[in-house]
Amino acid sequence: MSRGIKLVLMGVAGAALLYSCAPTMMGGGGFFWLLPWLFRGGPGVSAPATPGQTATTTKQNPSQATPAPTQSQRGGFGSTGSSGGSSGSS
Amino acid sequence: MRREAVTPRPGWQNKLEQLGFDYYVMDGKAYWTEQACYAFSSEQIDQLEAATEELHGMCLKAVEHVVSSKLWERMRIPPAWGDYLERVWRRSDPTICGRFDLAYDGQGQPKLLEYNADTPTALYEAAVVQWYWLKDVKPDADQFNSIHEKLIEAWRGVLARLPPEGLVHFARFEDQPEDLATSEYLRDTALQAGLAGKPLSVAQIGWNGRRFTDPDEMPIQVLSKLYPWEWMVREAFGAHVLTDTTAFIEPAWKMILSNKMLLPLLWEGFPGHANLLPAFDSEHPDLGGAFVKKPIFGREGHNVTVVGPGVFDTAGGDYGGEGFVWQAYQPLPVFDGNHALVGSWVIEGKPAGIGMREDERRITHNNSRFVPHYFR
Repeated sequence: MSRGIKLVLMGVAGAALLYSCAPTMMGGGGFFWLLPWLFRGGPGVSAPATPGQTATTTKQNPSQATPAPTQSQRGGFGSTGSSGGSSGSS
Repeated sequence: MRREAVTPRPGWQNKLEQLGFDYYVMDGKAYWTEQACYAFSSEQIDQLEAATEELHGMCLKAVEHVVSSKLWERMRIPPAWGDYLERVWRRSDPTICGRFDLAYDGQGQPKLLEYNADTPTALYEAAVVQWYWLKDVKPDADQFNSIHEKLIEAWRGVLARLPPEGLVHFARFEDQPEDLATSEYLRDTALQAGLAGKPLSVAQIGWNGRRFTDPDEMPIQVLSKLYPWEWMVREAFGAHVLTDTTAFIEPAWKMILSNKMLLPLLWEGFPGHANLLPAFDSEHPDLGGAFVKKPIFGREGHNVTVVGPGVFDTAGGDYGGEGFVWQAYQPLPVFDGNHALVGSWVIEGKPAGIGMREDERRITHNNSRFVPHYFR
């Protein structure tokens, strides 16, 4: 039963891993998310973190990670929470 | 089920801060307390686990009902979103987590109060902080808590559905400590599952005319957001979601479950179910002598009103513009003057653990205390 399972990972490394960078292993494969642009080899994505990198560090893959040519508009999300003084969590 | 007084661990504040849990006081009041804990029997935990699984199964049927019957107007979902919502539901866009709020006194059946299925918080406290408390204070006891492992497993499922070098962005309000911690904890479990994660604030999400982007102008492939769908659909960027060029966690179909209109829908679909309370989209005789009026899109107890003979409580707020639902009043059990609420976590569709909240008031809110638990 789920409740009987011990937190093996936490027992070893504990929540000290929180905010840290965990080693990365890319596995899986399987079927891709059903987003059409994924199959078109579309816009770039950032590489996964590798051991030693911080979580905020991303590595660009030149073949894929081409920044968009235009400057994005920002602030189109977040106005409701800002005006209402609420975070939106529950 | 009982509330036990316990002695706080020496240096407990330092222990919490070492875990990165630095919001144990919020708005000048204790948010985490370990002067008490809740104790359950194994049978009671079994009951909570079974009820959680049962409720989630019913909720999925409710989603199917809403989608197949196109109940957008009733759910206050813009009809223009119907096709998109149906698409992400039919293709089973992955879900990571949600939390039922249950009224449970250890004797009767757990009763569903609401499903925080879109932007649940109190996750880190439930998954990690109370677990370390257990190891220190009740090392020979157990805890209903496999949240951490199940989160990692859920992210592995996401990883398997992404192309190599897939990246998940994590958006939140960074000036809200609880939101920031919840989002960072989700990101940490994603990293442990092998994903790459990049944080940003909600307002930093950009739109370049074709794609959502991060502040470095990188397209956002998958966005784990701690920002409610019902707000997103009504904001400037909401229409861009319909281009379906970014995958969202939680997926858009979760806006059906985090919607209080779910409660009357469940009662219509499963009338008299032991884990449900009578609920309606207007006042109704079957509510009985006391009821709770809840805004359809309400959060953290705001604009909730409890009315009954000798009973009245209400909480202010800015919600309710889309209307209300009415649910029969199920009093929370009171221990030492504290109204106790069970938050029962669902990770990737499976029961995963509980977090206890308590408050002097009948209405549980954002700052209601988190109290650890154990069972034997």
